[in-house]
Amino acid sequence: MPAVRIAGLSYSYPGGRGALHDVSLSVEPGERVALVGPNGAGKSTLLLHLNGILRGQGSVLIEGVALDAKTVRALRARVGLVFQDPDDQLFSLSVLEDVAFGPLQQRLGRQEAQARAMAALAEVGMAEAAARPPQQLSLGERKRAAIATVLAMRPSILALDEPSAGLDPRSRRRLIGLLHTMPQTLIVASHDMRLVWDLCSRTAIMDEGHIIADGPTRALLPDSALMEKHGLESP
Amino acid sequence: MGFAGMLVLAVAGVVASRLPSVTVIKRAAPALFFATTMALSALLQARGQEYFAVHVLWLRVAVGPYGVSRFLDILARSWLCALLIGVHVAVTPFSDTVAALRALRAPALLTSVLALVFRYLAVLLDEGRRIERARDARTLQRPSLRRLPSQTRVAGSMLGSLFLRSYGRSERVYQAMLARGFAGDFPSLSPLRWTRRDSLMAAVWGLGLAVAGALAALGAGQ
Repeated sequence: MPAVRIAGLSYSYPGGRGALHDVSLSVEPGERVALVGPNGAGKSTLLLHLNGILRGQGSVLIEGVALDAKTVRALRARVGLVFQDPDDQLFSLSVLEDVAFGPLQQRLGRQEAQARAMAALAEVGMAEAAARPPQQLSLGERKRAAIATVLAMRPSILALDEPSAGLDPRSRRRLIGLLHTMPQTLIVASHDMRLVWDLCSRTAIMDEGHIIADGPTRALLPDSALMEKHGLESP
Repeated sequence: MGFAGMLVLAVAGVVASRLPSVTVIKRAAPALFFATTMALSALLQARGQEYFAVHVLWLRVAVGPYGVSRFLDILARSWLCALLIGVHVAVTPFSDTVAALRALRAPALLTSVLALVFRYLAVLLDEGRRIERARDARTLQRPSLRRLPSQTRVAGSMLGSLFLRSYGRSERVYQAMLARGFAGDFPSLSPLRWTRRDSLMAAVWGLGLAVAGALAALGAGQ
């Protein structure tokens, strides 16, 4: 059973701007898939459909369960969505409170929520920052803390929007190393072709709301003509 | 007398906080400016004896002992409040203040808004500074009274831009909350526990407030 199965998905933002047009995508468990494309291609919009923040026409199945009004709450625990700007994701007064937000919303007891939050922070190497306010962390630290906020919910799928945006080379390398250790199914929207090359075995190229090409990263990314046609560069 | 009692309590609070008293007093000073603005209308309330009176157009404005007493009262209360809030903010993590308000069953909407405002204040200021820098980088003339209308127009656009950015961020923060199963409530990880030390502090402050109240009542009776 695919981890994610999207069929015929279309979505228009209020105002009528079409963002996704008849998008179909299937991702197997444990697979690492990159979504690449120019700005406005629909990558982030597609990610927002994976746990029901946006709902368009067509179907989204998570591990065989159709995402609809009845199942959306339960499925949000299975798909961890990490936003591009960690300041959007970290809204609590301390890192620990923020990481425990998801488990507490899952109605876990305080002790279990705290244990899960500490384990998630340890997983991303941020256990020592648990008591600190998010605004006092560096961007790289905030990115890792943002990943911990979804890991604490024990998702089987991680959807990351531009995980390396704005990071210095050291923080970027550290983040890629961290993502390599993740056993979950990964869907990564990114402009960072070196990250895609290093991390994802499969790439889907998006442009103007369509999936233009979908195949092995090592076959697609060296195709300079295809990449340039869709506003991208080969790594 | 009541004021003297409260002043003693405030001084005790400052001493117990071990903060430099000059800093605490300086931090409370700006409150006097706002309090003076508000208290001016009280100064002009004359009942009984009057020190002097003037006519402004058709309005007769008089200042007397009653108005002066109300004016000083408002100033003293505001300054004491600012002093104690300054001490509280300096010695208490904001997350504890919010947790305490939640424990006291303050409305969830209020506590959540307070927490979010505190969390995003620095982000908002940072965005404001970036907008300001972008304006300065393209401003070739010095500010002057002659160019006030155009400067005001630019400042209005900057505020509008800041509002739109903040609105966009609030949308994204809400999406991030929904993505983690937000169902409308904010259960906290570490609710505050009432300890023996809290009982002692509550007893001391309660007693102090009762004495200050009694002194105020005595003063009013005389």
